[in-house]
Amino acid sequence: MSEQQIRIAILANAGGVGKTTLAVHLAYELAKHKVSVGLIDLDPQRALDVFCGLPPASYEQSVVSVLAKDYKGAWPFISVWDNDKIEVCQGHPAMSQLADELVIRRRGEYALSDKLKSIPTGHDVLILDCPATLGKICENAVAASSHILVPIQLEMKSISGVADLVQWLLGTAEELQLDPAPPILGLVPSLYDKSRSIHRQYLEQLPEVAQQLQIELYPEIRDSAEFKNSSALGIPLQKHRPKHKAAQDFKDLAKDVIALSGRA
Amino acid sequence: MPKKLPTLASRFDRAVSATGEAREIAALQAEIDQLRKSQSPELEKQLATLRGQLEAQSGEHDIEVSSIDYNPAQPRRTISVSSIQTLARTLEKDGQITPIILIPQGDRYLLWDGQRRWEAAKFLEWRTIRAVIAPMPEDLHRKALLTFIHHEDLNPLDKAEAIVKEVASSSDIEEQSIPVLLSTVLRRLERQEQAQHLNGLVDKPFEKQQKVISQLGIHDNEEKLLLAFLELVLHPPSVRSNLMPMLSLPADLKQAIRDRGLKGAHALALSGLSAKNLKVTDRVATKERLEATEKVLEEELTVAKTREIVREIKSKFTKPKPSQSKAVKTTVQKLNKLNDTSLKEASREDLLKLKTALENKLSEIESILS
Repeated sequence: MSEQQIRIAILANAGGVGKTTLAVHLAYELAKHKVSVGLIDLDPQRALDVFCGLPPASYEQSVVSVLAKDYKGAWPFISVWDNDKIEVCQGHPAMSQLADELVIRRRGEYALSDKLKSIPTGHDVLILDCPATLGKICENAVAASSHILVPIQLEMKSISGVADLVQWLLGTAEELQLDPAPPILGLVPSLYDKSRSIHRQYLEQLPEVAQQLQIELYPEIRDSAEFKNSSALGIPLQKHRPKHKAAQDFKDLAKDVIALSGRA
Repeated sequence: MPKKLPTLASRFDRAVSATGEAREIAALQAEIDQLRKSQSPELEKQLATLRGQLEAQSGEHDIEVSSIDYNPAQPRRTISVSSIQTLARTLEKDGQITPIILIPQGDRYLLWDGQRRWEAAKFLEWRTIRAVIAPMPEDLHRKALLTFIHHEDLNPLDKAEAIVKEVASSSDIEEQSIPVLLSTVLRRLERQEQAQHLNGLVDKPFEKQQKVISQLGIHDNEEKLLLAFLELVLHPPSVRSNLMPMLSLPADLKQAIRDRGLKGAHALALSGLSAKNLKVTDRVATKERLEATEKVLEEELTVAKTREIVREIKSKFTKPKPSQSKAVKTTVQKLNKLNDTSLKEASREDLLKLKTALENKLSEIESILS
């Protein structure tokens, strides 16, 4: 129904909880349903390159150059996994310096949002893979996004991070006067290992917390060694082992995003 | 039994209350916007006309910022510090475009319109601000103003009732059936994954709302109902979750809201202490609820804290399910592993030891079970 681009910022406020895994597999799931997806790597650690089997990009071919003040060209998107529905705009370590520069730049928090307005990318859905630390880059992601997606590993570090993240988001949306503020599309329990008691206990408690926060809770994504194997090969699990159980775990989420994009 | 882990809920207390506050502010803001739009188009128009007339007649004046007094009957929205700072930046860069409106009061002035500009001017430490002076505003829009003030004091229960009444008269649906109808249609839309189409519809023009609603494939009276809420600039799902539950609160909580200023969110939390939840009679549940309500009011507890005591009371009444004992489970598994062959191969001495151990345990178990 809406022709507005859906822009999903993946935020976690903790490292190693499955942000990039979520970004990559959601993107692939969407592409399977003929939804065109742009993945943008805002993380200076550029983990997305590994997951996509891409050699590191030069500064000029990365998102960092696009966000430079006077950049006027096109987005350096390249298609991956022989799939013309998925394109990636690679990250670059220089993103860290850019983050410092954005602090003093006029409309520094809106650099990404402004750029997406002046140079639209044309994808149905954009997925923004964000760094683990909440700072200028994440503020840019929030200002540019229509929705936020939050992977949550069922361990205290990640859980505390999410509690802080929720408050940070409210404050940021108000300070940046985002109207409407991008809602949290949902919490996605990640790296779930049912043989661990802590994971089981916290998974059981999560619905109540989600309900109090009035945030949707998605089915958990199980941990599997195959995620590591497929990322080593630079392809998503759905392509590496299409029948694997964990490859099915992204379906509900993808369905909602497809509905949002109006391409159902 | 593994050591008990800290619960998740307490981790999220602050996030939950921040979310609650944000939601409350958004709801108030929406309500004020709605009142401004629906109940006082005259007010806006009159302010514009007035501003024009005044500029033409008496022109604009530079008035000392310090000689202006805050209007206690200020009907405008709550103003956040950040919005004042933003406006201050604009004022500094572009200058003041629209004059504020003041009413003379002796040798000082009462602020009539332009609170944000005034606050921003104070923030910038301006000495003067451009203003037009209004002579006699009282008769202009007293009525609209009264509505504003009246509404800001409205508690969520009165609000819910007022809204239902209004919706009933505009949609021609019976008052009693509105909450049920609303929750039925929303649940069905959620099941059909259509509910997201309602998002952001609140501030769209009426034609757009009508178009979207008509494409949902719902019954005529359901369409009418949703449109009636949207017309009041109310988001139907948030009406369902924030206001409708007020109507079904038990009488004691309703009274506490009306007479003692109990907040809506607190009342909802306390309503968890029902006979059904506690598995007790109505009388016992009411007594627990009254006591808890008293505590909440007296100690001015936060919503999070209120939820916590509700949880505590609930756990007092509902016995926790005895957890599965891992030790017992593994022992049973091991016992089953002792098959014919392994027993036959064991020495007589070992078998006797096992027999004694089993007999001892058996008598212990029997004494616990009986």
